[in-house]
Amino acid sequence: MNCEQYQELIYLEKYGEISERAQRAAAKHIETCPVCAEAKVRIEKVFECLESVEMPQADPEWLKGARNELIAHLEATRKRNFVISVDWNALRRFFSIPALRPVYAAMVLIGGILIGRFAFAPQNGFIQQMPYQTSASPQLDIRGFLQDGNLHNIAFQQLSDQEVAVSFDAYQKVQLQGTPQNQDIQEILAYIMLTNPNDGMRIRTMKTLGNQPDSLVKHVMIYSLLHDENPGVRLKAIHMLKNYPPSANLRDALLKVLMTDDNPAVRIEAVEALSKIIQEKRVREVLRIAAAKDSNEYIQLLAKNALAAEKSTIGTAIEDLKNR
Amino acid sequence: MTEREIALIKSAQQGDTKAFGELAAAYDQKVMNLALSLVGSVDDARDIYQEVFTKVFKSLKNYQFKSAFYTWLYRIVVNTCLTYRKSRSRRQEMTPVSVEGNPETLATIAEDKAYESDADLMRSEREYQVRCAIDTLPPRQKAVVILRHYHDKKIREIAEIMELNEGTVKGYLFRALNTLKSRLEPYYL
Repeated sequence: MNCEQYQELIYLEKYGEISERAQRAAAKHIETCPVCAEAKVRIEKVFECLESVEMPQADPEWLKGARNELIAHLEATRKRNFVISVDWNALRRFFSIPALRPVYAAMVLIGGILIGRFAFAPQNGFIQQMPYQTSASPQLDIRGFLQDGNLHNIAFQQLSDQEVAVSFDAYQKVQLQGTPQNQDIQEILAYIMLTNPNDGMRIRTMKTLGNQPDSLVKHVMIYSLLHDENPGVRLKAIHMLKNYPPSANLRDALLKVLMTDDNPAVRIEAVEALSKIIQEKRVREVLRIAAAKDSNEYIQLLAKNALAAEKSTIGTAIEDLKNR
Repeated sequence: MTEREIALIKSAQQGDTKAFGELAAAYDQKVMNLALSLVGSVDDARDIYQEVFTKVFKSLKNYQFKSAFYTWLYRIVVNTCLTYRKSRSRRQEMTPVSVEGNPETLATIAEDKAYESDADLMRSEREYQVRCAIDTLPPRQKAVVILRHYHDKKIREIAEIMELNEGTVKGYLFRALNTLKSRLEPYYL
């Protein structure tokens, strides 16, 4: 043992936490070691200093008051938390039975399904799940609904090539099913084309209506061609309108599109549609303007080609007449 | 631990606040004295008193009679004081220090005493220096010194209270006493 270890023994001796044997060994070392003898004196003085100090004592009066306050606080907290703690403990015990775990899992699953079913079911519902009210139903006034314009949550679904289902909320929930030729369905689809804010839905509706000879459909498509803000919808409208027989209102619409539509793709379709009725003077005049002034060079070329084809057709006809 | 004490603990574990009150009455003087010695401020010690007994009431159901009740209680007091010191020192770091509003310490608690003679004054001065020296020890060394010298706990008991091994407690004690020796040497040794 070195002096440092003997000095540790001196401390422990002062605390009375040393065996008699260690005590004898320390005493024997100190007799022969002046450094440790000196250290022992100093350690004793440190102990004297520490013993001379009294630590602060708590005030018994304050303690009494603090204790009463503490108990009142604990009592109030216990009463406030009693119900919750009992319930949580009971729940914890209930849900910690291993044998019932499959039951808990099934309960959670069923609970989730029910929550999903009732809390997150789409407002529109799915058409087949609802009672049908067809256009044949005498009490259903589709035109009245459309005139009021108070239709919400309109949805439609293409059930097959020939059949369409439509649903909407008016003062009652209404579902219709039938072909696109059905007048009620046509009117609702037309309403969708004119009012629905969803571009995709308007295009889809136009496709579903297809080439119905009904003048309502044609008028709605012309309206969309002239006024729809989405170029995709206008393009779809012009595609569909190309299949209709020529008419004055369709011609006028195509001419207006060629002169005013800011989308080149729509104007290209207009040129192609107009080249089929180029024998009309007004059409040729507008095509000449387009050939000279359209901002798009391809459209200028298309218009020139259409006019050139018309000229060669007339020239051929004159030659034929001369030859006769 | 007496039978009465065991009965009180068991009742308090069931939420009996009256039994807990009796239990607190048996120990709160010691708890408060220890808190006063460790944190050195009456206001802080009062906060710690409330915190300790609230903790004890909440966690009493986890007490399994594996150690003496006072050991378990002292452990909560020491840990609360050590945590309190840390959080207080963090708060003080963030707060501008006022010269006039220094917090109370062991060294200042007994300053207001009236002195009857020069001997009293000398004794008081020595106490002041010793308290200052204890105050400046690292928190764990200070806790060990206070428990050993002023609460008469054996090294083994201190080890149990502070959840340390005896060798570590001895190490803390030796280092603390050597520090005190070197700090007090110019005055009294």
